[in-house]
Amino acid sequence: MRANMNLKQITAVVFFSTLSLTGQELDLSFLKGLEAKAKESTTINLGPEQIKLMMGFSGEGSKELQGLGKNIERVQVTTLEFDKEGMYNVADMDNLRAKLKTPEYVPFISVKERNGFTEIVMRKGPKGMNGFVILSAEPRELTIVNIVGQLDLASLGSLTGKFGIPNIHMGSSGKGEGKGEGKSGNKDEDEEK
Amino acid sequence: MDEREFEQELRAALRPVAAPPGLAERIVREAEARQAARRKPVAQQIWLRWGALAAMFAAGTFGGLHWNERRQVEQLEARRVAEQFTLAMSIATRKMSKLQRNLVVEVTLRPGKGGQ
Repeated sequence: MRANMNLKQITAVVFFSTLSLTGQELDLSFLKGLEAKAKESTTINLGPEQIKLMMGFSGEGSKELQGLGKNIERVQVTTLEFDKEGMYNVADMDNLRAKLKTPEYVPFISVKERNGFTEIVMRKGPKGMNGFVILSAEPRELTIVNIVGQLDLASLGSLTGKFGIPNIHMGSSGKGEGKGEGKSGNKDEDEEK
Repeated sequence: MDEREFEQELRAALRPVAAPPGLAERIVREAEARQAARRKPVAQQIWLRWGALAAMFAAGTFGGLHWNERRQVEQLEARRVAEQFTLAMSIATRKMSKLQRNLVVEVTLRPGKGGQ
């Protein structure tokens, strides 16, 4: 099935259809063994208390950050980069994928790629959607993003191009993308080539 | 004792007697001494007040410094969290941006949630 959704639609659905809940931390302990094999690993796990602390931040961009984080309960990100392909098995993700195949989660987008996949799964809450999970398994990179709560797209938009947050590609022309994206954004493009 | 004798004794008892010499001076000296004794605690109270004020000032200064230091620590921690938060947003946005570019194979939308 081919889809022509642009990122504006994707992000609108993802960001606006969330509602705060607590206690929805994903168990990523299965990645412990892979971290040792990874060339680089990034692990971010911010709970409600830390996000509340961030709301008191008064530096540059604090207003945008506060607008963005005001309804977020948890941010959990793990990225593992490997030297070469085949350092992990895509099946390692199956356990987590299985956990996301419950009535609480709604598959939103699933894209199969060479030796991997990328999925966005929405999490249901009592009054609507309550965040989302991004699973991305690429030949040399494994990424899991778990956002619990409501993200404000306008605040995110005001942060794009700053703090290393890439500009969101709202249209289909491709213009404006990559500003502020830096090394990480280019790397993705290189990988696609 | 008849009535006359009683009256004489009463008169004798009530007759004016001259004050001993120097009594007035002694009374004045004693009064001054008592007044001076009263003044000393008042002076002590003033010192106590100043001492209390100084202690309050010191406590306020210390408290202010401590609060400022704590606030700086909180700001540093908040900055660290903000950096992690923005990094997380950066990774999420990057993945979504890439997904948009690669969105070819499959889209699954729950009916009624905005799917086409």
